Amino acid sequence: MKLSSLFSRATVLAVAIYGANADAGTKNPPQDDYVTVDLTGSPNASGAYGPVRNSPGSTQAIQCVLYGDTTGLNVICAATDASGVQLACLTNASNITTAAKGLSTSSFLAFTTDGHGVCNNMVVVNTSLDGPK
Amino acid sequence: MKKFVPLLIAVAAAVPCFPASAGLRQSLPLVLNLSALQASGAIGSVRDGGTSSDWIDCQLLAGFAAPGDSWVECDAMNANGLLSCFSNSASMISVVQSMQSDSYINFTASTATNCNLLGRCCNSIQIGTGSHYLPVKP
Repeated sequence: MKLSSLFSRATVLAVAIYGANADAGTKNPPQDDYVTVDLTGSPNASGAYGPVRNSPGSTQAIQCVLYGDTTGLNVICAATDASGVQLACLTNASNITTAAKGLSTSSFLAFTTDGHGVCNNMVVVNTSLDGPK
Repeated sequence: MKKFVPLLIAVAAAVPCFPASAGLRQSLPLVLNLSALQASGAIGSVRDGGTSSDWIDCQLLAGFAAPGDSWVECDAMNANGLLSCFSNSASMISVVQSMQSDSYINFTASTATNCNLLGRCCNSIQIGTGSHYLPVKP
């Protein structure tokens, strides 16, 4: 996901928060949080754990695994969209492993790679807007 | 980075292998190898699996071996036995701090059993979060 897209998402979240008029709290439409994988430019992927788990079909998934041993800490993230397009990346960059530690059971996750399997950046959102698994 | 290539491939390859009716749903029951000193499983799958003796966890221990110290302990048990390991490695503590109620756990333990007198040392710990892990049920 391009950074501009992430900022757009933040803007949408803000507008949604202040512009909502409903009996219940504001909720993102689940389909807005299904997995997207874009392999062009800086390959990127995003999705929210809850909506992705409950999405139609049987292919969508998004995840991160933190790996620690006596030499250090690494994170591996992977996503597959509804068409089966996959993207995965790995890094030991401390800012990204720190972000990954913030992932919960129902987080929104977005990551961008360098095109060679290394994670360049990551966004982790824990929000009332996204539904549970 | 080289040592992670198989894991990276495994993470990516896991995705299309599990048929489901809504999103990908992956069952990861307890796999405990007491010879290889390795255990894995997703908390939700282990809890709701069909084997009543199975469980897996990781714990954060503060002031356990000495005042002011920090340790992690990971445990897995099935009908054949229990595997536990301990670590005060900053990276492994950091990994366990990321755990959620339905996380995937994979740990390996050392053959030596004198990890600061606590037991086996952990060689590595993996903690995963993802859309496909089964949420824990009551």
